[in-house]
Amino acid sequence: MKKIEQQGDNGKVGAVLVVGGGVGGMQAALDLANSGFKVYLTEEGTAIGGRMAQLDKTFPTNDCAMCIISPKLVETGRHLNIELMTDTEVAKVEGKAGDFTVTLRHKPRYIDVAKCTGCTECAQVCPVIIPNRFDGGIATQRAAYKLYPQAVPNAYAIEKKGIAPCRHACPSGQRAQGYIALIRENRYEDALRVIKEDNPFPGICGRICNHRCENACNRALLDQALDIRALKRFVTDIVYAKPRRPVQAITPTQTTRVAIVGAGPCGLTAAQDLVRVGYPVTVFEALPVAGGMLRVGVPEYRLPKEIIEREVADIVDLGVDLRLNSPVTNLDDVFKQGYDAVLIAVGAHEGIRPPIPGADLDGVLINTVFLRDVRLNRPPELGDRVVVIGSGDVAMDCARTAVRLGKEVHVHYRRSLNEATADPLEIEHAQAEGVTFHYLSNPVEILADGKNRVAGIRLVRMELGEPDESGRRRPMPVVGSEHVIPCDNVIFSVGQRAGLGFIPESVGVGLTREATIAVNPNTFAATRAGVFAAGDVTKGTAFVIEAVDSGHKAAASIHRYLQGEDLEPPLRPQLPVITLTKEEINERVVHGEVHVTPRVRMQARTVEERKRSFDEVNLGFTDEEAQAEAARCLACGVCSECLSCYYICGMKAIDHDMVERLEEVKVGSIILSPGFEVYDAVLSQEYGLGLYPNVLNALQFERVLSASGPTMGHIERPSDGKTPRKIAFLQCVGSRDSKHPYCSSVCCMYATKEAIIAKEHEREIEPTIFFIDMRAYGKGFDAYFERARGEHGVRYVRCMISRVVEDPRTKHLQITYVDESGEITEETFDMVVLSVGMTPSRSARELAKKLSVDLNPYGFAKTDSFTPLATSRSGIYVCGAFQGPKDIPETVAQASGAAGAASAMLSEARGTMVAVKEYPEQRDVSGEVPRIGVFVCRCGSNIGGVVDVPGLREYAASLPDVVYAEENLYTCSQDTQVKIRKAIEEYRLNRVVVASCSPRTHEPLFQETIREAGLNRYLFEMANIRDQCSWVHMSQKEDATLKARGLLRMSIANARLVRPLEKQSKGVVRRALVIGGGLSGMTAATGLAKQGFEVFLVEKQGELGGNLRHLYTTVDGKDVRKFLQELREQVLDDARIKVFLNADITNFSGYVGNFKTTLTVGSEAAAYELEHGVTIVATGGDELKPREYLYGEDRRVLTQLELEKGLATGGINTSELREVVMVQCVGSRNEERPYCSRVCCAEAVKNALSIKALNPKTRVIILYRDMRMYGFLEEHYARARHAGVRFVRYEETRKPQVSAANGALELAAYNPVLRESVSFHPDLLVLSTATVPADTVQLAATLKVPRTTDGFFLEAHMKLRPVDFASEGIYLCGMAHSPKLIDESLSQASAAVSRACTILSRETIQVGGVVSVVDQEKCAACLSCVRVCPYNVPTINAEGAAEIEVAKCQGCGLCASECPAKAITLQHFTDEQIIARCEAISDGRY
Amino acid sequence: MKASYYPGCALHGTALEYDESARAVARLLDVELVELPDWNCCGASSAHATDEVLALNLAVRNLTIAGTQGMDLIVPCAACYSRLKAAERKISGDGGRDNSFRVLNPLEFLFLSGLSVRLQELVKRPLTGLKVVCYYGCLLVRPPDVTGAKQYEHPEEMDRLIQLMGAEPIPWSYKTDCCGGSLVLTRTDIVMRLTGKLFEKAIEAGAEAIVVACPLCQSNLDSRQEEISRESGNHYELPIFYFTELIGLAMGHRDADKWFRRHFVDPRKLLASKGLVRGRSYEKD
Repeated sequence: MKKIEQQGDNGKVGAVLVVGGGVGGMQAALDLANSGFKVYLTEEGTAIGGRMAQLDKTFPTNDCAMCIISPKLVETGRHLNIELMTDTEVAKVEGKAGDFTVTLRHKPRYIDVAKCTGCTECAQVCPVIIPNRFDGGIATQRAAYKLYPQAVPNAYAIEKKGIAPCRHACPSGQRAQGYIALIRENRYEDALRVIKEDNPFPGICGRICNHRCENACNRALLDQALDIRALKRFVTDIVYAKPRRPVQAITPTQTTRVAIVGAGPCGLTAAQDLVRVGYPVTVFEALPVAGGMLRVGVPEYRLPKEIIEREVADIVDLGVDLRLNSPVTNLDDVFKQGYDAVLIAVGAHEGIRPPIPGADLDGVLINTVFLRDVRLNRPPELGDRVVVIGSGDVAMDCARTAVRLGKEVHVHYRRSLNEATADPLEIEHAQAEGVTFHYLSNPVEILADGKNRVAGIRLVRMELGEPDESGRRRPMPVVGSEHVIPCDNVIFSVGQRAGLGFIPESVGVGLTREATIAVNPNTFAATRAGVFAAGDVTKGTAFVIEAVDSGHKAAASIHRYLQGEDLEPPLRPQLPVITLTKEEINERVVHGEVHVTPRVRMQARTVEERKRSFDEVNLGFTDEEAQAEAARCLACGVCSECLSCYYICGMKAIDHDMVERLEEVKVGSIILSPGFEVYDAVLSQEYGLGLYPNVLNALQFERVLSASGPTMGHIERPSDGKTPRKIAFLQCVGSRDSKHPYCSSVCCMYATKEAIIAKEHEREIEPTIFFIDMRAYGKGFDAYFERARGEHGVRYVRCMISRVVEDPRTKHLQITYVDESGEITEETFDMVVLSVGMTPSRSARELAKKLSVDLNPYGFAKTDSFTPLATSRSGIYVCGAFQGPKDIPETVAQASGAAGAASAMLSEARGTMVAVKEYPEQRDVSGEVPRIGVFVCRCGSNIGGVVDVPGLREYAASLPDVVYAEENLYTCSQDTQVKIRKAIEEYRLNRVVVASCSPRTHEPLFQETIREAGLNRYLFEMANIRDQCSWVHMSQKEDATLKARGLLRMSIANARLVRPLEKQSKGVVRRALVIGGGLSGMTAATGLAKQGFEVFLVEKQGELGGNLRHLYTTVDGKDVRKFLQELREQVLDDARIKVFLNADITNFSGYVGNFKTTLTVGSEAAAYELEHGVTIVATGGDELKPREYLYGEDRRVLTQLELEKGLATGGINTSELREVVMVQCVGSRNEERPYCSRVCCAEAVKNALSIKALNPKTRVIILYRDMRMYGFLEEHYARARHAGVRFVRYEETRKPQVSAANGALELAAYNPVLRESVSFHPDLLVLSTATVPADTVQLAATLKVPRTTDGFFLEAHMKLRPVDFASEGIYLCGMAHSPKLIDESLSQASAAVSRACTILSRETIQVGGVVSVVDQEKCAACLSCVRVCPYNVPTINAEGAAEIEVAKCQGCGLCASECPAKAITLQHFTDEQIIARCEAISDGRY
Repeated sequence: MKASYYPGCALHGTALEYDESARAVARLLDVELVELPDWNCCGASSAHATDEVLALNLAVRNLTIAGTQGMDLIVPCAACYSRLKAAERKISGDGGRDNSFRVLNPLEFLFLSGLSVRLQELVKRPLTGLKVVCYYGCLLVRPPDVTGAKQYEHPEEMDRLIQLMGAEPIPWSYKTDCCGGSLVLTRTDIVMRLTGKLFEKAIEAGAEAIVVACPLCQSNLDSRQEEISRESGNHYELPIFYFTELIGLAMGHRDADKWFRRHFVDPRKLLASKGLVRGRSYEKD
């Protein structure tokens, strides 16, 4: 690849940053990249596609949204000059227009996009379930996810918010959330694996851990913490109940040896880790059993021996040399035996005997010794009455052990219950078992019986004073409270310490003042090289999990030591700990995601049973209990790093250690297209979203309708899965209210669409739309609305709904409204859909702040009517919903427009930063017999798990002309591309067939690969054995294999016949023709000139300006005259623009890049011949002069433009005006013109406000049908109401009647709200008349471009190609397209420029390839092809045969299939090929 | 913990059981309620409808006294709460006012002070099997500008407390509908219609009783059932509990029976059927 990076002239950078990968961002990026600019396209999500990808259908054509956006996704994703950056946000922008330096923040995705093949396996094993964001939370997804099936990039991502508090609180970092999630999935082996990632003692910790995880659990804020410990135990109970699988011993690979002193949890953990990395490890244990304190310190009733033995064996069997009864008496001896490193982990087994009188008497016992002796089956002789001193966990163990030995037990503790350190449950159990507790009671002396045996104990009562250094209140003796109680034994349980007799000072291992071994807390290294110490021996008594943690860390440190590395552990990036606030939890409750559910209490043995034996007290969870408890987890971190994905991924694409990364890029301009968020209707509590299951927002309903949605397009009520019959749509939720004083512009239409589609899905559905004004103002919208009402039977009720009430039994929803007759009616619906408005996203607002771009009062980007695409900062442009609520075509037009504005500014730097790909010369394969290579993909287990891939490969190899066949784990992976190229060379392949997923996403990739290997792209063929085979026949493996064979046979049969196709290069005339000299035409002309291209501007009238000449101000008070003057001067002053006035187009021919137009100008006899590469049609429209309401008969009846002129020039004296009545929709929305003229509501409001400003006393009444003040126009509507303008509705069927009796105008109108007639006597009657298109019948025929039935020009695609004609190289803009306001025309004109530049910026264009060719010999000139071609391409030439211009042909194949003489062939899809495919499948040989 | 306590006229009169149960629960939670010294009428029901200045000053006097106490002020009556909150909001706008204490209704107090967690630990006799709807009425959470409530259409606090007590709070849509409390004397016809609807909807939801936190709602709902039953032809016999009574009951407070005896619709029959009070016949006392 050749890449030229240099700055253009004037220091401008030929690259543009586009922020936001929705349909707007993609369009802007494609336009720019196709006209010579490098584009960085950033998207904060994991895939591009934006909101449009979530939609089911689009209005008003009911196209499938995904079908039409998908090609754009692929094109954007694969474009050589678009650098797509997902998971990326803008951090900082410096510099100025033309030369910005942008700092981008790439957030970790945890999956390497370059390696990921999109195979789904990570999601299949991910146990974490979260609400599905793509489906608006109505379904669930996994933490490892792809946003949607067609997502680009086709790669998974992992949602990870941070570390769950349970994991953070655990010394050993147990991934509690992970194994809990796996429990919920019944994957107990996996859960155990996850626990063992960090802790080799799950059964032990599941019983006796001090569970700091639970203390940190966020759930406690709602009800109670999860019983995490019990869940851990549950996993081991289940797995250990099955026969133990033998552990595979690990053969040492290291030459150095490690000795570990002490087989407790710390020593064994370290032993495990070190054996795993290949060291020979010896563990020396003084006791006859392994397990340390676990084995001899914790009583059997809490921790059964079998569990310890099992977990010790799992470590020892890895190959640890465990030597029991082997006390180390001298550390030096160990080194002498040849060990290179020693870990001391002897624990703290020596109990403490307090120095009080009588402490040495017979019958005084020490906790550790007592417990050990009982545990090793040599219990000491005890008398009947035992006193235990202390109230920690070990004290409880002593007391409860003594109870089981049949003794009366008293616990004395010098502080109160509040300060007791034992687990409260242990105290509770001890009490239940009959232990008596004496708090604030401290021994002062133990009394003897004369035989040196304990006879009693003298105690003193205590009281609590000020807090001491431990933070607990210090106990103080109460003077004179000493007393004696008789007893036979005293067990001291006031602490433990290590026994370090084997470490004399001479060995060089330093100790601390607390008699522990001094170590570096990071490395666990003692003061002598090669000696390490960990566990209780370094810290004093701690809990098992801490011993495990220090064991891991010490092992890692020893490994580093033995490898000669730096001892300090490497720093790892820390993720934030997710501590939820009460508010956040409440929000989840409100959204119905979480319910108050108390903790499941574990069953325990009865007290009577307990007292009698050492059987385990706690009985563990049953399956149901464990499921119930696991279901309570809030999954705080989302991804729990359970590593299931890591182990399954065949591409090793998962990297949980990814971190945020900053990157700087240089760009000349920035386009903001961050889109919108739907209003969170939970905030409109009166509608019950999130509370009532059958209330959905419109985006959720869109997903319900979608075939790829959670119900696969079946309309179901969330509460019971039944098909709803009555569905209510409530309009203006989060729009047109006090907090959102704007109209969201699209909701009327999308509600109408959803109602229609719902009815198409299920005939019996009865949709009702409750609305304020029906704002069907766009092209084709009114007709769509009328069809919904008429043909589809969608009911519309004009009423704003104040609340929704649920019937708790049926979950039906009740709505109260005022019906047509004015009665208050209550009606029941099965489902309610809230038509939620658009709000700017929080991230977009932040973006604006970072970029110093001003926002309007509603939080959208601030723009001006005359520069609708420019933000407040020079060089930064905006498009789409962030500029204001709008639909898809307007977004696309604005995106192209913004691209046009950016490229105009950077035109000098065009082509300076683009990469051009260079390929090796193509191999000539003509004359070669087919040599086919077949690559069969396993797609991980997606195909391989269903279809017999090795068999399929073998089968492929047996087919004719196949000379090579192989199978791949992922055929699309980068390493396989190398393999394919090699195979082409080695086996001299001249055809390649891949059997894998879908050509839709992958064909271009493989075509690219074979082209890089010197083969023509068309020598490739693909069989879809995944999406259309293994995925749909998952449970019928044999049949799936048969079908895969069939599919592959067809592809191979076809591949034998494919031929190389070459595209032809044609030169481009880099000049444009613009037809129409109004606002749009002039804007397009100056736009093109700024880009450096010559323009012919053709105007049929004698003056430039068009309709703009009749306007004086805009509704927001801008001076139109001045703007027009400046624009006109720009046109006339620009030498690159040649203006033809009074001009008519008489002939038009050619194709994209090479058009020829003939003009006649005025009375000149000579005609002009113009050559140009593109054509822009901007023929505009006119105000209708009506033939009703006495217009033309009474001079007091005016049109709005006439009124505007009168007001602006003083021709109308408002001081004399008493009353003015305006009538809307004159000549619009009727049978003759069934469309809305869009601009008249704003025009009327503007003029009404002008009158009110000039004379506030003038009564102004506007008679309307719907006030279509969409978007931010709403604020002017509100302003007019505040100014006292009266709005009176009338109905189409009862139009106002005007008469001029007795010299006064009288207007009678039926008011449907009052349900009576009202009459007015206006001084002026102003008609808001229709906008009609210019007369373009002849022009359309000349250009061969289509028009709508209304006479406007018809674009190539209503949604995604709003300014393109189907014929390439011809564009349209302004009112020629449909009525529109000034800013909308400006955006469209700029868009047309941008689209034109994608052609004009090229020297040549490539044509041909998959196009139809005519065999002129066979042609009978029957005109079938001419009639059938949707693009009007075929013509009959002078020889009387059909001719198809390659540059125009779109390759759809309609002509080829229609041609009765078989004279037409669509290349690459020849009859021969299709027949070969059919034969391959039908001869049954597979 | 200590807090000021403003009982208002209702809790010293018609709603004695609310007062007693609130104090009882406070004692169990170790909260000392200090009745506001020399408190006066809050101005609800008539003052605020007739004389704005008087209404404000009645409330301000109480707030001023509370300021000298320096503790949060707990106001159990929803009407009093609304008046005091409204006054607080009005005067805090002037600046310079003492903000050393908060005006809280008992629900807010329990949640803001973290006592709701402790409550659960004190449950001795879970109210298992008792199905209720919680009814907040109009003034406890609305208008949100005055109360600061976030969930003013579908409040949850009472439901959560009741759930912690072991009873089953049933979600319903009428938590904040009006019971007509302020029209009790002037437009009984409207009151009958509004309360009648609440009974109907509560039963529809499957509730056996209604739980309230306002003495006006309680008396309105409790005292009208016979009349409404007569007129509508339905037989309503729904106990109307103060939430504090149910907490007290769940904690095993010995006075619970005394509170219940003051109700028009005797709840003991229902409670006995659930085994929550000693089972004897409460048909007619």
